[in-house]
Amino acid sequence: MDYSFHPLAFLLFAIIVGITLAISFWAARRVKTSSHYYVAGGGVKWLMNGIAFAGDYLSAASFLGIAGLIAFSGFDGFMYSIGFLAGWVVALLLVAEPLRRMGKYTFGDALVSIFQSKRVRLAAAVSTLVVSIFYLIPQIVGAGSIVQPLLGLQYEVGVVIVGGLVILIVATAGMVSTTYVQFIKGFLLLLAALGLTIGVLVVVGKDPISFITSILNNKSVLLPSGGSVTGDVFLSPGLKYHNPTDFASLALGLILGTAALPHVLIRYYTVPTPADARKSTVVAIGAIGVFYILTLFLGLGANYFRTYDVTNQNLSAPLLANFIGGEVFFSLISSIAFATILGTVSGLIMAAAGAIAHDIYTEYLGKERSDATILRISKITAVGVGILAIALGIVAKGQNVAFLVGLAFAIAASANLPALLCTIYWKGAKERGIVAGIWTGLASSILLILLSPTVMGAAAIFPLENPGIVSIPLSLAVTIILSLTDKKPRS
Amino acid sequence: MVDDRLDDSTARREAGKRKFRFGLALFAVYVVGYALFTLAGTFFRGTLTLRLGGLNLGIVSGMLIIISAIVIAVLYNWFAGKMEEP
Repeated sequence: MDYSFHPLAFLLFAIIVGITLAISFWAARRVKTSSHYYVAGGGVKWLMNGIAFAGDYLSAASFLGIAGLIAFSGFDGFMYSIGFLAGWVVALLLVAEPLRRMGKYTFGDALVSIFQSKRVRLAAAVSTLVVSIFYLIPQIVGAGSIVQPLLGLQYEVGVVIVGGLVILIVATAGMVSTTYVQFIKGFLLLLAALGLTIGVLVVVGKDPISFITSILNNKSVLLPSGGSVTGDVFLSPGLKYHNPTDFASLALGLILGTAALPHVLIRYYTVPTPADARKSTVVAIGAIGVFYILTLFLGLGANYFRTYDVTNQNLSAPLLANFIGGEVFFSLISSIAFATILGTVSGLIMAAAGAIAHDIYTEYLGKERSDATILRISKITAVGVGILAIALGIVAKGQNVAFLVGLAFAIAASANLPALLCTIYWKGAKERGIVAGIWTGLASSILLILLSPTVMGAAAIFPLENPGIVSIPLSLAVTIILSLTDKKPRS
Repeated sequence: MVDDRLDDSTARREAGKRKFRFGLALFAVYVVGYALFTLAGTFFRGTLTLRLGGLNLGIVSGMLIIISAIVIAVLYNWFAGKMEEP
């Protein structure tokens, strides 16, 4: 399709963005304290929180990235759908309820409730900030990618638009507006994926299983990057992750990453009780699970109808919508994808603002000020993080967003999860082990990414694209060893 | 009165322990399934190409992992709800 300006697309885009902003300004009137700003006063109902969880989690990576990865790499792309959901089982069974009991606003609050340590607070805050920024980059890349065919604007302009809108949403009403935006977008995204899947199956004229079987039986599935393979090869591991260890590393990072993501963790504080935290996680797993099953059909549909842009994997789902339902459907799906990005980015900026304004400014530096001052600092932080995200989004142009999110998962799983699980479940965990574990996980995962083929190409020193298989066990080992060798009693 | 409160608190602690043990058992089952899938995708890739009905083992096991996460979530919530009943 041509990437020129389409008035209808612009109209739908303007309506969805307009609704989002109206909700933000309406919700802003309800924000009176920092508790309202960070965690919506802890009064969100579990059902709404569950769908908002889904809206928060089903990011550009889930919708644009996975569909593109499946279209380009078959089964290896579907691995992201499987792993992204698997992490929620860890969140539900090991993290949700204890975390709600322990914390107040942030991941750092939960750790400090046991260790009463400024060093723990600082490590948790920096880790939250780094993971949030790594997760923000793919969202911004997704926004820039989609604005080009949707509005006929350049990638960089799209990045600035989404960054500006999100700053406005978050700076006005914090978690109250973010919750409403994520709730609405969660519903819209599920409907969009369902509509698109039904469209694919109707046009193909097959039921879901027959459609997959027809691809498996195909002797020549065309690969967007060039060449062709048999359907058997396309729907088996190995097209993207040639090195089998890379597949294992990705699988480990995905299952352990979800329960360590700051914007997921912060949502456990928006509900009144631990039971509500559990119930909202169950709702989220149901909604997210259904969505990820549908992503298989979006990706296979994009490959089947060849609705991809070889220069930008992230456009596979929107271009599939254009093929199935013309400009109206394309505009609708793209506008929903844009709203998706707004919701996720809002959640991420909230988590980052909490880490800086609450953990570092108020608690670590001990700047006890009025609630109004804390609120003002939080909003200034949100603006700063938003501007940083815009800059990094422009630098990361052209990367697959699901792949980038996979890296953010590995960093979160390495830095946060060992500390979180040891704090909750191990009485022998000590401050020294927790602090060292967080720094080790953070530093090792980032260093390995910098030395990997993703950054260094053929000259890579570390052979794997995803660092999880090394950095997660390393962080856990450091946490355990330094706790065991610390003879001081737990603070 | 005090005895009632103590009984209530002991019962709640016991219910909490049973809930945790049930969650841990579900978690163990899920992790074993996920680990087998990952091992197959890493070291025994040929097994995932085996045909099952019209599909292959990779797609079937991937779908099963997604669906079993939903089933486990519902099951755990049901059990936890029962344990929390007064």
